[in-house]
Amino acid sequence: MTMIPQRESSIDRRLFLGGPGALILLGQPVLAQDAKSEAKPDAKADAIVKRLSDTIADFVVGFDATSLPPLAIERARLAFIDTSP
Amino acid sequence: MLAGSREEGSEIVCEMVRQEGAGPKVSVVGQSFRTSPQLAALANGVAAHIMDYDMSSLLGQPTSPIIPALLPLAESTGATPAEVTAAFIVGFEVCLKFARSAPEQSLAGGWHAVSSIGTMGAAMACARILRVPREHIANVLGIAASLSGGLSANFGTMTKPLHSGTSARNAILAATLGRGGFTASATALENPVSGYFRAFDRGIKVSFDPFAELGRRYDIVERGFKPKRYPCGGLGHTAIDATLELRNEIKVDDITTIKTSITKYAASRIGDKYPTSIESAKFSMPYVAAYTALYGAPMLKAFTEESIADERIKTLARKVSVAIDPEFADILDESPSRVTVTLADGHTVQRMRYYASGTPQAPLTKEQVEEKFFLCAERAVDNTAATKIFSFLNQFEGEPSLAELWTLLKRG
Repeated sequence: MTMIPQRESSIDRRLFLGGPGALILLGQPVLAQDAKSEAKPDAKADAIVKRLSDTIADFVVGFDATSLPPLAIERARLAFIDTSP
Repeated sequence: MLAGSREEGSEIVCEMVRQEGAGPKVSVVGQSFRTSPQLAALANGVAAHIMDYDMSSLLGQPTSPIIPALLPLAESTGATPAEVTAAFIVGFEVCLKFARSAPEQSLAGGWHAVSSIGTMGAAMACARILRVPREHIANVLGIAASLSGGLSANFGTMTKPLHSGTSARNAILAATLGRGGFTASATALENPVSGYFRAFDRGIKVSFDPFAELGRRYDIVERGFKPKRYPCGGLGHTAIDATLELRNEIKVDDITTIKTSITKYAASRIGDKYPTSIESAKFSMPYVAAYTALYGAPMLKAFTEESIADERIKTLARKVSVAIDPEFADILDESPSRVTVTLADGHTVQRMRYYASGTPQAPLTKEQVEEKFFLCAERAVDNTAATKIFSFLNQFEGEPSLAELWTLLKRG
């Protein structure tokens, strides 16, 4: 269940580093930077950014609908039935 | 889209599209003219969203522009229904990953996910159909990121569905330019100073973890979506469901108050004022609650000038109040409601609904899906065409070609 946090928070890029996705998308613990260092070009950050775009690109190009469970296709069909009229 | 093509806002957009005089390359759903893929996507997107009857998922309707963008591209490229189905799932999954990465974007950020997120997912769906080379997809993402937007301040006006139209158009623009080698920043998404996530999720927690699930876990399976039962703001649907359940226990003339308790997110989108237009009626709790209590489920005829002028609805709507329910105030991924009706003798009756009709937890029946289809389709095409379209779509991914569909979807 997604809930509204009970406190105000500024963007916290350390969150980007946390969790299992960080291992795949980010790789290195280099983005827990302060505000000053954010403004500087950072080759490591660029590399990390490319990794996220790569993840999406890999999915877009490599997606194989035949590997999906029937429910996915059934729901896609429902989406067309529900949107067309 | 067919029903929406008859709405005033769609007519205005289509008149503009006609005046543009673009080459007649592809069909526009519910219209008799042809135009360019981008302009067709613009008109399709507005028509898809203008009645607020299109499917919901996380953060509202972020997937709204995908099909409006895919149809013109499918026609211009000759893509098969199976290829279009795959592209739709690609777009859906990308949308949901963006939505899950920053679930507060709509509430705290003030952005309309149809545009801020829908553009990104629709662009990836278009990239799939256009077979954009892998090395150019980062450019498509970067272009789409710069073309995203959409302010939730425009809810209740024609500009809300315009967001779906511009997102569909911009998705084709981004995918086409990206395929052609048009460049964008490699840091357009994550740039910590000026990237997509910084701009749209300023001050909001963001996690990229959902993107790691791409191709591994499918939101279309695990979360699904909600085909709407009612053609109005989805965050108020549980209140409608609860009111419908209460109708069997009360006499309308005995009602002294109707208290609707909802989430903070719903309260940020659903108003407590009586509507002044069809668009605003879709986001007015007093209106939809009073209509439902009086006449039952608010279907298409509920959202007409005639119904808004109904004195019985106006009178009962004055007895409707809206409050935040402390039990579920902060929930974001569902929109529960509690409706409490107080009667003249002091007796109260109450219903709470957590999941709205149409959600995977309370799915529409086949009969309800079919009823909705024909109710909408027959506003634009005759029954024979509607029946053929319904039959085609029910075996969509197995059809060899979409050619038949373009003729059927023309204005009847």
